[in-house]
Amino acid sequence: MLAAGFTACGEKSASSHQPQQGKSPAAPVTDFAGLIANLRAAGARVEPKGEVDQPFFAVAGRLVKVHGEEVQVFQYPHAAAADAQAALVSPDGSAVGTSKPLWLGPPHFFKQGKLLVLYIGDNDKVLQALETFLGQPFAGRHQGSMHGANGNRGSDQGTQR
Amino acid sequence: MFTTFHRRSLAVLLAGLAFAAFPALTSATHSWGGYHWARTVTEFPLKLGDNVSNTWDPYLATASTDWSFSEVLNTSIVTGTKDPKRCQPTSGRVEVCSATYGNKGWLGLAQIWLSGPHITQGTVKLNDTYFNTTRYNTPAWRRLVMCQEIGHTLGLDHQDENFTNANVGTCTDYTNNPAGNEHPNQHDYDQLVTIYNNHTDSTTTVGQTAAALAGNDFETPAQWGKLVRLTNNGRTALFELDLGRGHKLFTFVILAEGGKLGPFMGGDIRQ
Repeated sequence: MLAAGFTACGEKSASSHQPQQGKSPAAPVTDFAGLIANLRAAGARVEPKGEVDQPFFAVAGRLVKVHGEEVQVFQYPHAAAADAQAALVSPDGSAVGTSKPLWLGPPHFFKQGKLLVLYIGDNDKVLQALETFLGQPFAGRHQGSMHGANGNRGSDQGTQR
Repeated sequence: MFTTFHRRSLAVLLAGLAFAAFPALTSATHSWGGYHWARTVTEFPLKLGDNVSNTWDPYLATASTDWSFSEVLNTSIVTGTKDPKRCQPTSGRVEVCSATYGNKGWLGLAQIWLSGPHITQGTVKLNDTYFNTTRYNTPAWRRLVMCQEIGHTLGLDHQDENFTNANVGTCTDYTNNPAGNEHPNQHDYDQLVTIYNNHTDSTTTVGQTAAALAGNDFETPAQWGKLVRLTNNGRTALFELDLGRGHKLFTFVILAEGGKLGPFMGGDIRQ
């Protein structure tokens, strides 16, 4: 309901926070176990690396290495809770609600079912593996890109350079 | 692990609603959503709570001096009283903390709390998990991150978010090479003028203390106020605590699997 209220107020449209339709997941992935199983079945190297607890997310997550790169996976009790959380992520991934992390690299946010997945980096192999099962990122930016991953300009819009 | 839910601030959810209700007040190029400290004077003082290690102290001093070059604000460093690991906010000021927060993917994290469009308190976390590594343990990285995160708590966004292009020459620029991006630039100062000098507020959020918050750690349902709403067949609940003077704190709770009532999110002060 909070997410709906947010949308109704016009700041961000719900559609901008849905996985994009251009690349559908190859298999239905709705939870952590399914994601890991599918990634491994597709030949990706996946290693568990413990937990990760972000102060701006409602649940603790799991840290896994995919092709040697750290990926954070957050599983919510149901898809609506994941949607509400995703609605708080700015299109360029630079903010989550009123929190502004200085990321180590370009952030990529994915959402599928109960899962919200965060990858910070620009390794094509990792991105392709995640996009196969999670669809296109709903927020974030590519290295060197002036645009958010979903084609929206980020908060640098109109910046005088 | 995924069946246990943790208390979190509801600030992010409520801030979105607040933002929608109070659209950006300026045509600024890198204002963060129009958020700003409410103040009744043209040049307002802002305290920065020192909860950082000795290594960070000179960088905090530099950032405080840098931002105080602005004609609309003056920051001062005061003794911190917080556990840096938790880095809980204090009403009316910014707590600056350093600790090994873990492999979270961020070097620094700025968080603000809102009452409408007004910032009521803020925190800055500097992640020593990364600053203890050779790559980031440099004066340039420390200056950039300290400067940028404090800048966010003043209401500034980024001037540029491209990691690989040429540096803009400001700490509000994303970069892979911090050299030359260690301080604010004139555009940042101009932006602060745009944010703070185009209107005045009838009240102030600077240096204010919500008395109702004192001594309340919000660990138990008894501290969350009245139950406002139950949803999802009773799995989620919203509590409201009236702090007076138009301030309310909301706590959103999700019933953890197995029937134990576990806090999902904490609360936020907003009018």
